[in-house]
Amino acid sequence: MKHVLEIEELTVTFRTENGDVRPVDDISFAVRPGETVCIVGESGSGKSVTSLAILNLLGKGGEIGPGRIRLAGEQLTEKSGAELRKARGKDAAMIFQEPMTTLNPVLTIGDQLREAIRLHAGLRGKAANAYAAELLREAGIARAEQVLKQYPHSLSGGMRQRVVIAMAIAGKPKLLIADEPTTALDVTVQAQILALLKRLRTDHDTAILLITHDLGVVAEMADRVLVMYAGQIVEETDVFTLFDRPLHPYTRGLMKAVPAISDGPDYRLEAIPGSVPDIGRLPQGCRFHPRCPAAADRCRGEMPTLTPAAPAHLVRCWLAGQSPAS
Amino acid sequence: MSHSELRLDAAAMHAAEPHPTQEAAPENGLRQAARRFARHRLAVLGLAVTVALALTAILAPWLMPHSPYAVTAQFSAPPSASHWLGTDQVGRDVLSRLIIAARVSLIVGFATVAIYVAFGTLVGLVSAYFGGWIDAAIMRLTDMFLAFPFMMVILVIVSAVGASLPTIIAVIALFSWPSVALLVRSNVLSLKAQDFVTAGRALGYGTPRLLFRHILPNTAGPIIVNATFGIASAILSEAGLSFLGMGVQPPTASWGNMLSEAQSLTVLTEQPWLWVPAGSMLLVTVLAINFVGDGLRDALDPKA
Repeated sequence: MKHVLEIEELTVTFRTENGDVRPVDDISFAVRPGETVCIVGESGSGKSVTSLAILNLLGKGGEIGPGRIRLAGEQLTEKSGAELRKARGKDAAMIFQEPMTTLNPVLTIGDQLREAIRLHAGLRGKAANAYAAELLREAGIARAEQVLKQYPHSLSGGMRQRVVIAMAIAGKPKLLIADEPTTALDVTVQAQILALLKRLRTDHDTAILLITHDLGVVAEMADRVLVMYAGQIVEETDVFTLFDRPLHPYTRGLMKAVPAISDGPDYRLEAIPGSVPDIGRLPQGCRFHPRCPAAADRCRGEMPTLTPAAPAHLVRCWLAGQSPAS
Repeated sequence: MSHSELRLDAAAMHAAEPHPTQEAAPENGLRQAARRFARHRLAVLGLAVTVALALTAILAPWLMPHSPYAVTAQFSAPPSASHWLGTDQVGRDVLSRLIIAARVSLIVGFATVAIYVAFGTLVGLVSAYFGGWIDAAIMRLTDMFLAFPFMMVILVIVSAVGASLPTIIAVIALFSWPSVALLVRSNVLSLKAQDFVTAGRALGYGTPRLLFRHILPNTAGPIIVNATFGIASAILSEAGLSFLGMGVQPPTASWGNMLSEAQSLTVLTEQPWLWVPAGSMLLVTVLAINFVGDGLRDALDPKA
């Protein structure tokens, strides 16, 4: 199998009273086994909707299509509800942002883990319990047997996120989709959770699709990076190229907005002026042009396409070829 | 800014490998609820009374001094050494009838509530989870049931079908489920939008599993509280129907049909042993169960 996940020309449409909006508009990418791909972007860029769309978890109102999603070699977009359900947790599992609310408050950790295990590993009774403890230990929880008997409210945020991760890996998924898995956690706990995800990737060759707005997390985790803006991919390349030679003005703006340890105390961070456009009222031409420092006439009238600027480096900008990165 | 600098940043915040903190084993939900319940003196008292009543009903054959149906020659006799609470208008022992009547009240109370809470919960779950036209149809039906003048409809049904214990249970249940359905629906509507439900779907859990194993237990507290108050109100409904002669039929004893003997003014003023005991039992039972309900509401409310 060449790719764990292949997404081609995916569009997600929400029908609203003010007409249809497309938080995800014609995006394509692929994830290889054992690879970590990060999707970065501001709030409202469509990165979370993309992650939910993969397992069809958008709920009522969000329509997927046109576009194709292939997970573990199988076409998800053509599957029935029951077939799709089988893929969830087994082929791909998800880790969410808020560990405080992603666990059921009235069931013990053991109940919840054993349920996932029964469904995905087919184990019951003592075997399920032993496997549950093993998963917790793998997720870095030392006194696993004790934690199995506890309720979520008695665990800290970091512990809960470990439990969520333990549940996600119960079915040995080929792909872990992590939607801002560390955003709600303390910085030290963040680092531990990222280290845990890294270890899972090396130990099991699990591919990770990591959704984040934190470039520090990207640098730490990613093999490849997709930068999203207003529902589109604006730049895609490997992590080293992205940090060394970002081509899209938006990506460059994001980089400048992050403090570096070498910055002096008087260094002022640069912000990108304006905010992400309302997806119901997108500007003509390039979606970034109202905020772009280099916008030209062409940018205002014509939408740029995602084109290779270098080998394995795609960018959606008319000016990318002309002005080399500073 | 280069990539290596960012790596440094990330490495700086990168503490040593996992050092998860462990907390002491916590109190589980049930024990915590029991502790909160115990703080309510009246609720504990109510629970004690309810348990005593239940035991009385179960052990009735051994507690009754006489047969509740045996007719003696003394009609409407005042309390005496052999008949502690006197005899009724056809000469039966009032105390024995009072004891056996506890069965009727508790059976009606618990059976009615068991039936309508199960039905109402299912309706509320289905309505809220599926939404759309299913929800709209079910809610209009619920509105319809709530708009019925239910005592009148019950009277009509009972006179048409004939009064008996199962009939009474069925008709009271028929008109009580909408409140549970509305309660469950509103709770499920807020629960199904919660992250743990999405997380469950992401793990491949099907709708029935999510509904019954994940969402339903989260709304158990309010349902239990509602059911407790429902028991008290079902007992009152049965008493009302029996008082009107549309409920439990003599010679079977029920506190309601015992009370109906007080319909004559002479009984009301001159033979209080015929109605005060039955009336008191109703009052005590309903109060006790309502106290339990109040206690449970505080004990099970996660926000309290």
